[in-house]
Amino acid sequence: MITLYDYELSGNCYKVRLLLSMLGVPYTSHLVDFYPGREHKSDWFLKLNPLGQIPVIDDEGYVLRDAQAILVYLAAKFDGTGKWYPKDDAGALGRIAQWLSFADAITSTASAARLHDGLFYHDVDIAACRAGAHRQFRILDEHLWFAEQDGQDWICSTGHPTIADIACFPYIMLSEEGGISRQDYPAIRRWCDRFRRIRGFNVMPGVFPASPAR
Amino acid sequence: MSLASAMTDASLETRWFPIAASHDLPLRHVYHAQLLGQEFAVWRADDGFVNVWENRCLHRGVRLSLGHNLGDQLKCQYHGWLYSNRTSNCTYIPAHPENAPARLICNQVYPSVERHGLIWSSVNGTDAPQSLAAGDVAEGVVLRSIPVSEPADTVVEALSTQGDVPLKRVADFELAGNGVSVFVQPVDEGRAIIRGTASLAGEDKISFLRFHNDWMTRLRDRLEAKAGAAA
Repeated sequence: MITLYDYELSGNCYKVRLLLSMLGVPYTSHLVDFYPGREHKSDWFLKLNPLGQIPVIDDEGYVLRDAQAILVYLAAKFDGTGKWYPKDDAGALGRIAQWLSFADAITSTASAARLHDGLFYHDVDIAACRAGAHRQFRILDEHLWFAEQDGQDWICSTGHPTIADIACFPYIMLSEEGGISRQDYPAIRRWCDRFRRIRGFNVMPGVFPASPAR
Repeated sequence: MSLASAMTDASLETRWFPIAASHDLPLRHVYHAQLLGQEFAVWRADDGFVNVWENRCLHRGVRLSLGHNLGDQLKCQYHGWLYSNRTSNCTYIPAHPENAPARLICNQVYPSVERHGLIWSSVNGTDAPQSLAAGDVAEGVVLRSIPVSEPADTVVEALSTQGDVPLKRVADFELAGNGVSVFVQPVDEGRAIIRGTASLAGEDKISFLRFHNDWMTRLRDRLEAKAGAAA
């Protein structure tokens, strides 16, 4: 059984919970007291991940850190359909890696702004974080708008959501907790609706379900 | 027209502006719009009717654009109050399941017209005029809208002098040229959205949309950079 070192309010842990749920893979959560306990900086946790970041998984002794890396591993191992991470499609893998990196960049803008506003991370340059998130959201909104024009619903045009969608979703959906409105990103707002209608989708605090499409 | 006068001019409140594109209203979606500072929740019911409502639940004031489009009703995300398509009458309050809501509980509704691939509305308008635009509107495709963090009159001025496509002012917030119609939606005192339609003349549709998206984006970036440098 997979153990997920998990924190309920973490968007990065939520990415992993989402994929495990969408793939129907059982796991147990080992809760880490991120706030206020700072358990992710404790001696025992730093042995697991010297970066002092969540999430981490332990799959029968195979320990892996970094939300994006964990998505790659879980999809490659457990997705029988091969759609979430199409291992034989070089073009798709390149695109997925590009957007996984983009998702990680959102962690240092929209997620940092949310930690500033919600969890007292006062050493964050909040104006820079918000401006950076808006720059990223403009890029993604344009990308998704043209994808829609081409009949595509997802970040990578494979006809099915990939782990790139999962990696980008949480901190976009939670952006307003960091003072970043999505009003100017209508294509992102539509994609958020589509994402929340994927079978196996689960919520977390601050993320609401979408209405059924029909 | 100066910024201050544009936003205080009462005549603007009776004027009709495009506030969304038809493609912004897919099945069971709620679009978040804004005109002259007034926020709207815009949603298409399953019968095709386009609702433009004040973006505020009458109960606790939560934005209805966060809510659920159920096809014939809009449900507030917070406590589940239901509002009916077309009338915006509250039809159900979950905390009082036995009681029919008072008929007075009805959200502020704004008029809407769908034409030229755009959704048009007005803050204080009544019946839609025969023609929503001053000039002929190019038909064919709807361009990607470009939000700009600059006042509408600044954006209009830039479009008429600095764009890659030569556009002439047709009316205060309307420009045209080269088979393109451009409308500038005043979002609030400091923000605007560039909307446009165009007639395709044999070009590849996606490249055509990209071409217009790209020059409008560059125009936006130049305007915002200039304002940032002046600040």
